[in-house]
Amino acid sequence: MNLTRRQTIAGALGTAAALSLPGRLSARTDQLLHASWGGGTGDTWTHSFATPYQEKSGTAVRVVEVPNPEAQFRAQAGAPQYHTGIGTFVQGVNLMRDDMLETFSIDELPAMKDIDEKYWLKTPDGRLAGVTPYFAYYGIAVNTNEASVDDFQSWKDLANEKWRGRLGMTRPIYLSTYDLTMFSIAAGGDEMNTAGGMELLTGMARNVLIVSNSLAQQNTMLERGEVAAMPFYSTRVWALNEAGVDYVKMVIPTEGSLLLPYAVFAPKGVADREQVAEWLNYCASAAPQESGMAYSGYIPANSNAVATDEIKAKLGMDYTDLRAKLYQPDWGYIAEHQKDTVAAIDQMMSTL
Amino acid sequence: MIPRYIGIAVLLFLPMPILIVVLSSFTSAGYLSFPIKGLSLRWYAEFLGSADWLRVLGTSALLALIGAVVSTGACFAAAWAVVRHKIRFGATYETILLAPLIFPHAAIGVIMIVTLSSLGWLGTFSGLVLVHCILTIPYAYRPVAAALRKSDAALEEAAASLGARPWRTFWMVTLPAVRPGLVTSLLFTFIISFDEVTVTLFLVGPFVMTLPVQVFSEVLESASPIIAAVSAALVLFTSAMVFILDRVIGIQFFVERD
Amino acid sequence: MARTLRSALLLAPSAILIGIFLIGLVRLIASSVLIDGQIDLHHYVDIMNRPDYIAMLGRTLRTAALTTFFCLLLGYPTAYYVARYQGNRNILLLLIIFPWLVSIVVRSYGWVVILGPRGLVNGFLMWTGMADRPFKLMYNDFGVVMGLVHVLLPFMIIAILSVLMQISRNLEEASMSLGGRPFYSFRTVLLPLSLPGILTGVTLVYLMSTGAIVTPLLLGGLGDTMIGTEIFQEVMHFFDYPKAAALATVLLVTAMAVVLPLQVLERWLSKRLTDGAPS
Repeated sequence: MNLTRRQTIAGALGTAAALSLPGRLSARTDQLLHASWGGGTGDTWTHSFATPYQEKSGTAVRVVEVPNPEAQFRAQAGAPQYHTGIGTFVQGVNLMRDDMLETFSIDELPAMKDIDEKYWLKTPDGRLAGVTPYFAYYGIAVNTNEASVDDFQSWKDLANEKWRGRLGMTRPIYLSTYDLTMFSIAAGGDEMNTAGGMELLTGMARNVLIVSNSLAQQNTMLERGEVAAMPFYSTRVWALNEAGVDYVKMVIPTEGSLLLPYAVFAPKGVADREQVAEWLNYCASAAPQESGMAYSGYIPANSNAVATDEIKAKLGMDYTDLRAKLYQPDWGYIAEHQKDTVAAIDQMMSTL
Repeated sequence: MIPRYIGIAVLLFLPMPILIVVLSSFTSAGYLSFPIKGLSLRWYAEFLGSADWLRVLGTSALLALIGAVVSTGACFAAAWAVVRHKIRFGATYETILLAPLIFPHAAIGVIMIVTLSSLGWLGTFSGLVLVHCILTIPYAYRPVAAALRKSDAALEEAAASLGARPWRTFWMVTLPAVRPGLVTSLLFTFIISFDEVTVTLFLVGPFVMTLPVQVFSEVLESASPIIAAVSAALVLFTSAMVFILDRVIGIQFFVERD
Repeated sequence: MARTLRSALLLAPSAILIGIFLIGLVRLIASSVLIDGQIDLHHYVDIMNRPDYIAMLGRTLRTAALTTFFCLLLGYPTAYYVARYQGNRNILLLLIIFPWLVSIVVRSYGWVVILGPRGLVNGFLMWTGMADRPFKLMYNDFGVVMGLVHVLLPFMIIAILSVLMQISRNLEEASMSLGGRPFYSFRTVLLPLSLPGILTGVTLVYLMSTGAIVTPLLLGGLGDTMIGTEIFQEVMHFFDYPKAAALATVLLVTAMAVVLPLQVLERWLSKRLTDGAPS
C-alpha cells in the first residue's frame, strides 16, 4: 500500500470538504442563545423570559435545551457559542472560580439592586458574574397515600429504620451539596461541619429503594407510590400538583428547607456584550420572575415581585414567610469542597 | 434439539418495555403514568406542533442519513480495494476498521471531545457527522465486504469484454449484485447513528442537537409524556421504513461471514 | 502503479476516519500520563488507592461477564429459532432490533412499570399469591444486567444468526440420521461450526457492557457505579478530563485483557474451519 503524501492530503481535503458542508451555515448573530436544561426549565425560559423579552426589546432569545449547560460552557471555553446559560448557584460559583464567566458592574445590571445581596454571584472584587432569576427549595416530598406529612417533620425522620426500602434519593453529585447540608443542620452542624450530617445521610441511604438522577423516574416513583417520600425539589412537587396529583405534598421540616438559588451567566469573552447585559438585567427584574412563578413555581428572587392571592394559597404563605424558613448556606464553601464530599459519599455508599 | 420456546419467549420479551412506552403515550394526563389515566392524542399534537422537537428530529434524520451514506461509501471503497485489488495486508486493514467497535463508548466520548475541540468542530454538525461516521464504520464494513465477496468478478469482466464502459459495468452489473449488502449497511448505520446517545451527548452545541440527547435531557429534568409520544412515533416510523425497504428492495440482513 | 494509486484513493476515506480516531486515542492515553510535559502517574495511583474504585472495577467486569453470559444463553436459541424459521424472517428481525428503536432513557420508564415494586411482575406475583411482598427487581445489579441484556441481545443474536444461516440444515440432519443423538450432534457439528459467530457476539456484547453509561445510571441502585458512569460524572460534573482519561484508559486495558485473547481464538478458529471444511 504505497500512499504518497500528496494522495493522502488530497484525500483528506476531499473528505474534510464533504464533511464541513452543512456545518457553520446555521451560525446566526441576530439572536441570543440561552442554554437551559430540558423539560420544565426550558419551557419556563421560553414562556416567561425569552418570549416577553423579545416583545419588549425586539431581541430574540433562543432557548437551547441541553443535558447540562455548565458542561457546554466548559467544553467551549475560549470559543463560546452561547450568550447565556442557566445553572445552579454551585455551578455558577465553580465556573466563576475557573474564570470562565464574563463579569459585569452593578451599574450594568441595575435590577440586581432589588435582589438580596446574599443571592448574588459575586467575584472577590465585587463584580457580578451573573444574575439570580429565581430559586426553588429542597424539602421532603411525601406521597400521602403511603405516609403522613407528620411522619417527616424533621430531616432526621428520613434516617428512621421504619422506612427501610420505602425512600428514594438522588445521586452523590447532589447529595453532597443539598441533602448533606440539611442533614448537617438537623444534626446541629452546618455545611462546614458535616460529621453528624454524614451519619444521618448514611441512615437514609440504608432506607433507600432507588437512587436516580432522572427526575422523570423520581416523579414516576413518587406518583405511583413506589416510594413513600424523598428529598425533592419544590418545583417538581408544584408541577405534580398542577397536573392533578394532589396526594404528593411538599414538607418543609422544622429545621427548615434548603434554599436553591439558580444563576444565569454569560461565558467569558461573550459576543454582543451589551445586548447580553440588557437581557441579564431583564432576567433579574420582577416581571418575568412573577410570570415564571405562575408558570412553574420558581420563586422570584427580586424582592419587588408580589405574590397573587392564588399563589399565596398554593404556597400556604407569603414570599417573605417562605424565605424565612429557607436556609442559605455558603455555596462558595460547598462548591470548593464538593469533589471531596462526593468521593466521601461514594465510598460511604460502597460499604452499605 | 434446541428448545424453541426460549427463542419465542425472547422474541416476545424484546418489544415489551417499548410496548409500555407506546401505550403510555396516549395518556391525557400531564405526567407519565401507566395504566394511562385517559385516552388522548394531546402529546402527539404537542410533539408535531413543536418547532423545537421537529428541528431536532430533522437534525437527527439528516445526521443519520449523511453518516450512513458517507460510512457506507467509505467502506464500499475500502472493501473494493481489499476484495478486488487484493491489496497486501488487506486482512489487517479490515481488523483496523473494526477498531471503533472495540472501544467502550464512554471512552470514545472523551476521545471525541478532545479531537473535535482541536478541530474547532465541537458543537457543530460537521463534528457530529465525523464522529457518527467513525462510530458506524465497523457496522458498514462487514455487510458491504461480504456482498462484494459474494458477487462475481467474472461477470464484470464478461461485461467489460463485451465492450461495456467501466461505469456502465459498475452500474448495470456490480451494483445490483451488491445492493442487498449496501441496503443492509445503510439501514444499520442509519439506525445506530439515529439512536446514538452516549458519545453524542458530550458533543452537542447550540446549533446542533440530536433527538436522543434531547430526550435524555428531557428525562433528566421532567416527566412529560411527550417523550413517550416522540418515541412511539419513532417506532412507527422505523418499522414502516424497514417494511417498505423489505418490500421494495429486499433486505439481506443475514449476510455471510467473510 | 495506476492500480496502487487507485487502491490508495479507495482506502483514503476510511483510512482518514479511522486515523482521526486512532490519533485521538493516542492523545487520550497521553493526556492521562503527561502533566505539564512530565510523565506523572498520579491519576492512576489515585484510582488504585480508592477501595471503592477497585470495587467498581470488579463490579464493571462482573456486570459485563453476567450480561455476556445471559445474552449468549438467550441469544443462541433465539438465533437458532430464527435461522430455522420458515416464514418471513425480516418480521422476526424487526422484533429483534426493536430495543434499538427506543432510546434507553425512555425504555427505562417501561422498566419501572414492569419491574418496579408496584410493577406488572410484582403485581402479578402478589395477586397469584406466589409472593407476599414485592421482589426487588430493579435498582440493583439485577436491573442493570437485565437492562443491558435487553439492549445488547440483538447484537448477539445477529452475530450468531449470520453464522447459523451458513450451516446447512442437511449437515445437521445427516449427523442425526447417522444415529447421533441430538445433544451429541449439537456438540460435535453445530456448536463448533457456529463458534466464530459466538465469539464475535461475545466480544461485542462484552465490550459494550463494560463501557455502558446510561443503563447503569438509570437502572442501577445505590452504589452500582460502573467505570462508564464514573467517567460520565468526571466529565459532566467535575470536568476533570485527565482523570476521566485515566479512567477510560483503565477501562480500555481491562476490556482488552479479555477481548484480545478472544480475537486471537476467533482468527485461529476461522482459519481452521476454512482449511478443514469441505467447500
